[in-house]
Amino acid sequence: MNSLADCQIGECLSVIQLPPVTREQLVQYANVSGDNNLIHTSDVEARKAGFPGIVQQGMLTMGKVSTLFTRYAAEGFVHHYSTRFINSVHVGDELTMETTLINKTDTMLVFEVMTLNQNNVLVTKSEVHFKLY
Amino acid sequence: MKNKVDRDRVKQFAEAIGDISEVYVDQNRLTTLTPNQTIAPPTFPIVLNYGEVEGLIFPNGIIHGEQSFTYHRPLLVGEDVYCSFKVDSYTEKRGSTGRLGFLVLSDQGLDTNGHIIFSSKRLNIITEAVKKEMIR
Repeated sequence: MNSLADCQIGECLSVIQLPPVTREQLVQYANVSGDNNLIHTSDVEARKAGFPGIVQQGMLTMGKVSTLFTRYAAEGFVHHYSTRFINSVHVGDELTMETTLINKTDTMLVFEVMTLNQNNVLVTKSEVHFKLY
Repeated sequence: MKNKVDRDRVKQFAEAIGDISEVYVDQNRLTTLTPNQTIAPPTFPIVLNYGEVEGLIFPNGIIHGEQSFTYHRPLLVGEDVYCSFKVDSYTEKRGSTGRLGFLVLSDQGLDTNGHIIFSSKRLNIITEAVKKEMIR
């Protein structure tokens, strides 16, 4: 599909699989974002908080999901973007994003994005309202 | 708080989320409101400075439950944005591991004319152990 505006309700964009989560990605995002919560960069702190190892920043997952819409920037912009963080994401996880158009007007496209890990566990649920120019 | 949507910071942010697109980094794209503008990624406002609410700190272990952004227009690379935040609500519920606190914060970013560019909401979940850190 070349144009987002051609998408029909109930249709899905191509399923996108992201490369595995790496420790370097989490450290890089922590440095750039200024999020210094140690559960994202220290296994010791993450275990203290009850996780098996360092946890991907929710905002990094949300940032990765937003990349789905970047290539449609000539058609419009992300007007509203909301995400529920449901399960934690860890180093080595392979995330898959499933995107479905759930509503449509002349100027707005509403997508639901389910992000699942390699065990088919839902990690985030997002809604993107894309406003056409 | 006045923030500049810094070109290098946008580039670093785009790299960190794995999204090195000309939409965010191309120097030759326009920085005016057209489909050819250079804009910041939708989640970029998370790195901006919103100031502080007195007495409110964010310790390790705070859980990010939900996040949303609403844009009246895209945030342009190079522009100044005036950011602030406020506490919307705080409620507690009894969970399986003790009382959980639900803290809702709203952020907003205005342009130099005072017009809203974006608003956002964060839901933070605070466990009993983390709450003790916050009110210490």
